[in-house]
Amino acid sequence: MNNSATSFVSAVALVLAVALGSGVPARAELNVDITQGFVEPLPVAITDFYAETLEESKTGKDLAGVISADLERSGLFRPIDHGAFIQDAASLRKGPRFSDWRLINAQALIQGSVEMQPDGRLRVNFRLWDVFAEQQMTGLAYFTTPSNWRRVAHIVADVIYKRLTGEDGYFDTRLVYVAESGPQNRRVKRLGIMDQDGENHRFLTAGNELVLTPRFSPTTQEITYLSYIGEIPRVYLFNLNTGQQEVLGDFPGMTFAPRFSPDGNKVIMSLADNGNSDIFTMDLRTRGVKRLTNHPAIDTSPSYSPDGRRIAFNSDRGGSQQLYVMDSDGGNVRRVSFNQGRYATPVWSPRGDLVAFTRMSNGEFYIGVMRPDGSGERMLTKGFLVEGPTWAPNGRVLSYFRQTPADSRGRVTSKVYTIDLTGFNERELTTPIDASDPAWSPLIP
Amino acid sequence: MRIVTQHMSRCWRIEPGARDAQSLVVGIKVQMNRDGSVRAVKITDSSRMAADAFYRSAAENARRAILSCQPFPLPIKRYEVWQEMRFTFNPSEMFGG
Repeated sequence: MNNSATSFVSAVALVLAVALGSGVPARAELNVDITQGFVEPLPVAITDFYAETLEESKTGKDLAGVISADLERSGLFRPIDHGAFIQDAASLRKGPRFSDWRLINAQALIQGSVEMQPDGRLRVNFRLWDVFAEQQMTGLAYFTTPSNWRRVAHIVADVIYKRLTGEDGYFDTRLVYVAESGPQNRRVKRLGIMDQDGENHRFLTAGNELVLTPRFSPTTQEITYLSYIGEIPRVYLFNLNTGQQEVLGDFPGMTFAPRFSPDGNKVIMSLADNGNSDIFTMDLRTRGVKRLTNHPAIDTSPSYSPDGRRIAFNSDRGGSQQLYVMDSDGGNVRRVSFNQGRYATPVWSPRGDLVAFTRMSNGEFYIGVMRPDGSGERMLTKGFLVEGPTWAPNGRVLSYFRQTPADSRGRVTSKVYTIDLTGFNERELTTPIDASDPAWSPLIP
Repeated sequence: MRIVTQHMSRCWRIEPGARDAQSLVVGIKVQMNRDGSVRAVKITDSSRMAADAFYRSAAENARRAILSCQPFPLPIKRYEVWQEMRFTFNPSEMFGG
């Protein structure tokens, strides 16, 4: 009895000793708060993908080139010049010599290989390394037709972007836009489409009819846009896979400012009759139409929140054109913009945290963002005419267009740009002719 | 320890556009060698590392900052003070928070 009591006491003492000793040092840790850092792109080393044959080697180099260009254009990464590399691609196959990559301050290392398979497919694989932690962060292999190499490069760049930032990528996407040509009074406007890096450009419509405000479905490869039948604007649907176009509904007045709902099943738009425009939705399967606003003011440019529960739009119901948010059934309308000037074309971020908009104030145009409750408003860019913000599917980057004032010969130029939501890294997206009204696709399925 | 925070401010790269960037506060435990190099480094919140891609990215970025900043210019005479450190990376001040 006595014995067992003693052993119980010593067992308790032992547990206590273990608890005190387990991972808790005898001395106190020094606590250090780090609150200051710097903002700069992450230096990354992207090596040419290794291959055995000359032809595969060219593909390997091209793949690395597209991945490098994608990451560089995001503004978050700085690919290191290949001339600085110490370890060569052949020896890299046996594993990275991390000290060599640390010496050139590469924080991440991307290596890969390309190999033609007996069945004619291309096998592409890559690895992403954390150079300082000396760990593989991710690695994947893809099989594809050789002509599809560019898309594989974008997909790889998206995986790297996501692994390093936590955010979904946006490189395997396209933009549709309005391609413009001809004199100002007889402008030809047709739909153009290109990859997000400007490659694979083509025209979707012939230019016989004016097209405006293309918008991508967030779920399908479909576009809604505005075109004219005679003098009357109508909302159209365009299926990118089939090339088929159709008019959406047959309404007595004008329909305009169409946009898809987040599930892709509805289009929300404005309908104008006798000079008064309100916001309506149309169910794409049943074609049922539902009125959401009923106000003598002009209500237009509706855009859903990504969860589909709220809608941002602009209205002049308060005297001047401002941004409003309402519930998706049209209730609970509240104004969210209060600064000087007029506000237009609110576009809810796919991330849900921000609404982008165009603002006109003191003779200048701005592209800005605010939280959906109207707080945290900040301008990203400004100009004589900047308009038509559209979000990359990850809600991190915006595209819009910028038009110059007419020159001495009355010529106007219009170009598409992209900008990071921090307001940095503004870049032109090169198009073969003048461009306006870009619309960013979701990630290609 | 101002010498450490100043030293680290040159190595910690911040990503201001990340979602809720100001709330990504990362704790890292570090064991140091006498020469100011890092012997071991451990991100403390491993469950959030597994569950939250934004947090993982911020935490790995903070770890890279520590590893790329070595050796730390610390006085050898006070080694017992700094041989174990717990870093808290908090970007909120840089966002005016």
